[in-house]
Amino acid sequence: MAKLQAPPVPTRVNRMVNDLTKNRNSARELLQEGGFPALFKKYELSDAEIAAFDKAAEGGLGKIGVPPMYQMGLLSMMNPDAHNFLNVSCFLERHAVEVKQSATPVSRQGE
Amino acid sequence: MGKVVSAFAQSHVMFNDKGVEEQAANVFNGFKEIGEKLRQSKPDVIVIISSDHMFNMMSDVQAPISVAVGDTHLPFGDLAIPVEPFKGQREFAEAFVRFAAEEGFDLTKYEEEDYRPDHGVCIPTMFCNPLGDIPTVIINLNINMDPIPSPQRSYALGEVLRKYITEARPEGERIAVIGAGGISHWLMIEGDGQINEEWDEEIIQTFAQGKADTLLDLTVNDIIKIGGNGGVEIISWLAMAATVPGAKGRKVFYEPIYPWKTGMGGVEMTV
Repeated sequence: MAKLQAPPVPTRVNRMVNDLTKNRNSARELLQEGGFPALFKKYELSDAEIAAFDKAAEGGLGKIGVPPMYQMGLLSMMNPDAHNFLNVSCFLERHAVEVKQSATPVSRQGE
Repeated sequence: MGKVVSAFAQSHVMFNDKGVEEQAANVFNGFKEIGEKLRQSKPDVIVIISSDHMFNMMSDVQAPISVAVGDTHLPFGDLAIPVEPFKGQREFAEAFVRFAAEEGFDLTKYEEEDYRPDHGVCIPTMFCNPLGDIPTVIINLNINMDPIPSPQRSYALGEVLRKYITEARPEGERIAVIGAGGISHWLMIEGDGQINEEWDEEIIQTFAQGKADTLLDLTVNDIIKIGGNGGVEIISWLAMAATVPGAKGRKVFYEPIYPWKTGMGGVEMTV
């Protein structure tokens, strides 16, 4: 039966995301210091794989086997607008006042 | 024996509210209401059944069904969720893994060093357990791997959880169960951004009518076709429903939020 969602596969790009997520092999430091080009070089991405990053917002990374969740994460790292969108910060003030500060510890002591 | 004292199904994400302020406020209110109801039930333990979004279960190691057994859970911090620890319940979690093994489920255990819950767990937690003081056990159904746990398997897991609570837990222990995820959403696949409002309402009503078991004939591919690759997250709702079989419930909220690319809903089961 055909799969409707490509399963995660061990491509070079996916290994790169794994290392970024788990902070292995200095991936985050490389990203911070040299941006994505430094990561592309370390993980020896092909020209076609690098070109897919230019079309990340249009699903280009899916065509080289990057699973949807990794695409979302990469978009958030590459695009400030996506980063600002994938964010709960706008709710935190209201949450602090209406949920956190008004909550009382749940205790069944004395019942 | 223990007892399920409250049970809920709910979406598990929030994004920036720009342009959808009213809908987002309704979602916030719905999450808040579910949180208040859960705390009113005075649980000793919360069991959250949700899914990891490849922050922990990545393409290199994929656990189909896993249990976080740590004494403490430290959020991953995705979506800028505050990284504030909340209590785990190791004894409950480890004993459940052993119990489930006797019932045909070989579950993967995650220690706190190797597992930091993402928004799938932390958004519900922000509202249900804002002080982090209610011990929480996390069960993740892996919706990103191949094969994804089926609706039938997920429901069967919920049945085992119910059996564990009612037969193996201490007398009087009170358990709240949350199934978190969904409803329909297509993310970064063909159809990206679609929401199936009709199906979402049908799912909510099916759970509210206590008929979750009528969904067990669906395959994962059936759900992806009708509810998107994110719609598969309703397998966590099915596992929750199996802990309160036949229970009816009520819709707490529903909002199809197109900029968020997802139908957002919540159901409170009558326990």
